[in-house]
Amino acid sequence: MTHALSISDLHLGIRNGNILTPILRGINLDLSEGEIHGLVGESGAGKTMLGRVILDILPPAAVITSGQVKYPAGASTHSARNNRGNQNRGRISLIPQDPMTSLNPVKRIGKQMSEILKLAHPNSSHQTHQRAEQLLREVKIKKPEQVLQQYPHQLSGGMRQRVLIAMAFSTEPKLIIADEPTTALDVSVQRQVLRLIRDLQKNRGTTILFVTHDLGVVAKICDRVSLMHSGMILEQGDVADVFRTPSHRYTQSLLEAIPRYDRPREKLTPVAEDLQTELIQTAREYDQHRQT
Amino acid sequence: MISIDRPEVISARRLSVALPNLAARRRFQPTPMVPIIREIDLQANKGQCLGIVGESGSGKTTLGRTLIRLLKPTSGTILFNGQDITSLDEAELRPIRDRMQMIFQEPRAALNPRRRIDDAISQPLLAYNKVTGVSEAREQAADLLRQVGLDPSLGKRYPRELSGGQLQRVCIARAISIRPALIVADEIVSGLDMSSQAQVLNLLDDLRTQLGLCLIFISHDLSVVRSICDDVVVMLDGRQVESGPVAQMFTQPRRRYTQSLIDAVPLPEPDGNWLKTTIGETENHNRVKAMNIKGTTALVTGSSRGIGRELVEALAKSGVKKIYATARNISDIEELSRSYPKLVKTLSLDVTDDASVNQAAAECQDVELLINNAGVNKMSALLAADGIDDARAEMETNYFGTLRMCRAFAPILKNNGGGCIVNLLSILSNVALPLMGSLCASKAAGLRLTEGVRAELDADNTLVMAVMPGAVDTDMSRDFPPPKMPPADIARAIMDGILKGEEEIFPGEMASGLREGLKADPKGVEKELAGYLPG
Repeated sequence: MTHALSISDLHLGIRNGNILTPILRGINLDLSEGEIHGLVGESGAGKTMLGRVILDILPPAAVITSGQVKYPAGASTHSARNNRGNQNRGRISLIPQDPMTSLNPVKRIGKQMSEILKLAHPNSSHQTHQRAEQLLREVKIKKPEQVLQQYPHQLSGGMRQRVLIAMAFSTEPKLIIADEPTTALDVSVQRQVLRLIRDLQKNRGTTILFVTHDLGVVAKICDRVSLMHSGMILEQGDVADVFRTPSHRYTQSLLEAIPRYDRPREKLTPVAEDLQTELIQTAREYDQHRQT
Repeated sequence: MISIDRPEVISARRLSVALPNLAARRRFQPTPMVPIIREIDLQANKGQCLGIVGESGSGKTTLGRTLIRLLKPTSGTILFNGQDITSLDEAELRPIRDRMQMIFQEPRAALNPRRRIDDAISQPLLAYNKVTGVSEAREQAADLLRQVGLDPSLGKRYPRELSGGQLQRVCIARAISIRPALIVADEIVSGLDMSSQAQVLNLLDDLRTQLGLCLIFISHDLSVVRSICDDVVVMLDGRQVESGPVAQMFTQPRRRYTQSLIDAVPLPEPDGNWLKTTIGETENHNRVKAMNIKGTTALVTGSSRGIGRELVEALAKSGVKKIYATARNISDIEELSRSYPKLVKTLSLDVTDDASVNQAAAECQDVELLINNAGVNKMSALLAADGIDDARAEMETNYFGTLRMCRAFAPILKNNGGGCIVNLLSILSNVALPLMGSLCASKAAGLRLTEGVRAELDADNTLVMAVMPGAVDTDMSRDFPPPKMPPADIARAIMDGILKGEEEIFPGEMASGLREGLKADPKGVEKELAGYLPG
């Protein structure tokens, strides 16, 4: 199996003056071609930062202290961060979390879509317009010609997320980072959007890193899953194995924390405080160990 | 139910809200109004949690805001602690404002980024003069932070320094600071990760018990609703499509829409097929009224033979909870209860007799699906008949019988959260013929009756369906020439219509063909029919 992306022993910190706060601690992650890989963790686990490493859109204060990110044949690694971006442009794209803040409120949808399309394929405006229309049709938008003329605020949350999915797939990328793409949607729309992502991904053989905190969504759409806490991957494996026989205590307690309509309980059981502190402690010890 | 220890805190009756449609505004003309929520009935008591669920745009938030009078209803009444607050103005509301609070979805947006946490929590205390000064307010803020499980030292921080879960607890602390009786929580855990979600929900549940809070919990996540609420109101397009105790809604959702909301929740069980199933999404149906047959209790009149009998069979096979099979002579239907001993309960019922109908209604308080199938055909003309006895008999069963049943059972259906009434009519409801004139008249009366009942029950979300088949292969039309539809097909068409929430169905080619023909050339169709039917 070829890898669409391979991250080995990645360490990353945020520099603030002379202090370097570790964010990612020894991440190993191989994404096979055509898989949907779930990246799960509570807020602050480092999911989004890992996504930004892959997209090469790190904030200026972020420093990769060791490890590397290997893209498929010929693509750049992070050893050369000076000529950022360009080589990966079009090969990796992003489906962002919040469709309202990710679209430009003062530009029509058509205009925003063609900006991306023109970067990937410098065609005539007419061709670009037709391509945009076709893309919207592929994400099951009923009146694409009308939507192209509209502004983001005129669309519903589900429609906006579809537009962003169309934009993410528009450059025929090999890899897509989906950063909580359905968190802002209600359950019915969420299911439609998940199905859409899965169908598009199947047809094109795209690899997706699906960042989310919702284990339910992971169970339904992902092939494999990695669980993160304090910048470390605690458990990794096939979705079926991880959900049926979770090996890490943290995975077990996360699964138990989820309210389920089919198993109503008197009280929910959040991840225990001492487990949380224990995990943070492990991360600290890891840092000290690395320094010495 | 009002009880001593659990007094009612808030209730709404036939509550509707309309807002100005600014997009459709025209100069020099009044702004047109769009209805946002329509005829909502609900009630929540002290220490109780009422869930409001529905897809985005269904009016959940508008309802929540209207209940605490951030919006003014266009009609209906809201009672808060027994006081009518429907049309109080801002000054009149002020004295009771401190009894109601709201918590919002996005805690980061709900807190002033330039105010420290303890300052934010102190504000309502100061604004409602609950404390003597700032220092006392700060002290109370520290206590409140402890109460929601946060370290009081966090009070000196700014919102940006806290996580989403912590901020949501701050918002809860601020909401309970002035000891409200009612809290409206609008999607408060949607933005939180699984672990913080469990913490915040547990906290809210504990506070509800400790402080005797009445909680209105708005959410689209049914798993969360199941874990915290006692009762639920399900909303769609501003209407209340279903309501009742939370356990019942999950074991037996009455509406297919509710079922689709439940099915859309991704449970943490690996399942590759979950995304492939498309129940209730692509299908074309009336989403407000489409009913779940599975798990319901049905009553069928005239179930000794023909369509009635087939209906009982079809219902039994589609997973209903109970069927009341009724006929004038109970001996005619004993066989049905032998075939389905656990499902079918037989009952003697004469729809032409008030006492009999009332007795059946008293016995069958759990009916959700009423099928008025009983009917007679005396093959009688209007003028050529010997007298009007036949016409009277037809009217007595086909019209008054149906009316009696609707009157007796509509309140029962309403009590059970809205259900479905099916009236078996005929394509003859729409024609005038030189023969069987009295049957046509009684069926036409039945059609108007059905439409009238539908109009009266509109707000209760009861599906009222008129079934208008052509000739059916039953005793009633034994003299009719073929083609005649097998009664089992009619039963199947009715079941399908209920699932789709249709208000009129014309099962079979003959009925649908005649319906089209009647639209184009009514006189021609009537002439043709007269030639076909036995004179």
